[in-house]
Amino acid sequence: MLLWTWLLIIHGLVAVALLGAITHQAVAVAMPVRQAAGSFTSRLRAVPATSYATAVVVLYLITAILGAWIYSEYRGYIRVPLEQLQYWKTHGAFEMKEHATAIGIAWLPAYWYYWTHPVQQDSARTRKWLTVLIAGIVWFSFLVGHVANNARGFGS
Amino acid sequence: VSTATSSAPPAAAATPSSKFEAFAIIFGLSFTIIYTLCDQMSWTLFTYHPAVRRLGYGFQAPVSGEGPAVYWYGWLATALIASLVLGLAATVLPQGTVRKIPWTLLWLVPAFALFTLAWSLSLFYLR
Repeated sequence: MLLWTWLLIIHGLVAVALLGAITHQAVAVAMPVRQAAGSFTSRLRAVPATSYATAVVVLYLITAILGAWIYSEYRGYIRVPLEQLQYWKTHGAFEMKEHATAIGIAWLPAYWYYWTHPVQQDSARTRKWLTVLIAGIVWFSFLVGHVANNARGFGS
Repeated sequence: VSTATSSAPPAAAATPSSKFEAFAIIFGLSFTIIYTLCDQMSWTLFTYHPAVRRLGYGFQAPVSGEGPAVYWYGWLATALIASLVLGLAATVLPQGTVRKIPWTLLWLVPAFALFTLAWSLSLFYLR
């Protein structure tokens, strides 16, 4: 049980780092600033978004691998009690989180490519869309994982 | 034929950068489609039985007394292998071929896949 608890804590901490990186980047690409940063929100939108790309890919993969490892324990010891407690929405949302994470993995190479290569006129919107897609998946997964842990965390 | 002309790279030659772009786009599209099909059609390379830590080839129903069966790992592996093959195959296509794919597909395919996957779980949300 101790191993799974530590894995879950590390999974959560890496997810927080990923959430911060992808949120900065998504805000910067979706709402770029046109003048010098002043307020907190302007500075948030003015971050050098390109520098986050590799970190986002690495953090996403580490988070996904840790999550996939924990999933084997979740399936036996967490999901069954969730079903018995009739927490259907939590259970369904958690399964959707696994699907969304998988779809996010599919687009990581393209996301990395469009951030690390000079933007051509027609690829700027592709880069923007992929960033928003991955940011959405990360936020959804983070919130669902948090709720599932509250509903039936390890050791409960 | 001038020297300058003969030493210039062929117009259709793909650079490493454009090859990676071709790989990335085809990998993304094919993984998304194949993963969704795997979920909907129960296509899986293997089944994992976590309670007894046993892997079984292909789709296997849960066995009484052996706990639940996990298909997610099998779907991931199936989609990953198939889309890696298709992505690598795309790198040998002439330069610019992948760029002819309409941009709309790059958002439509994942959006439709996520909707389909969410819809397949609607029995849990609507319960």
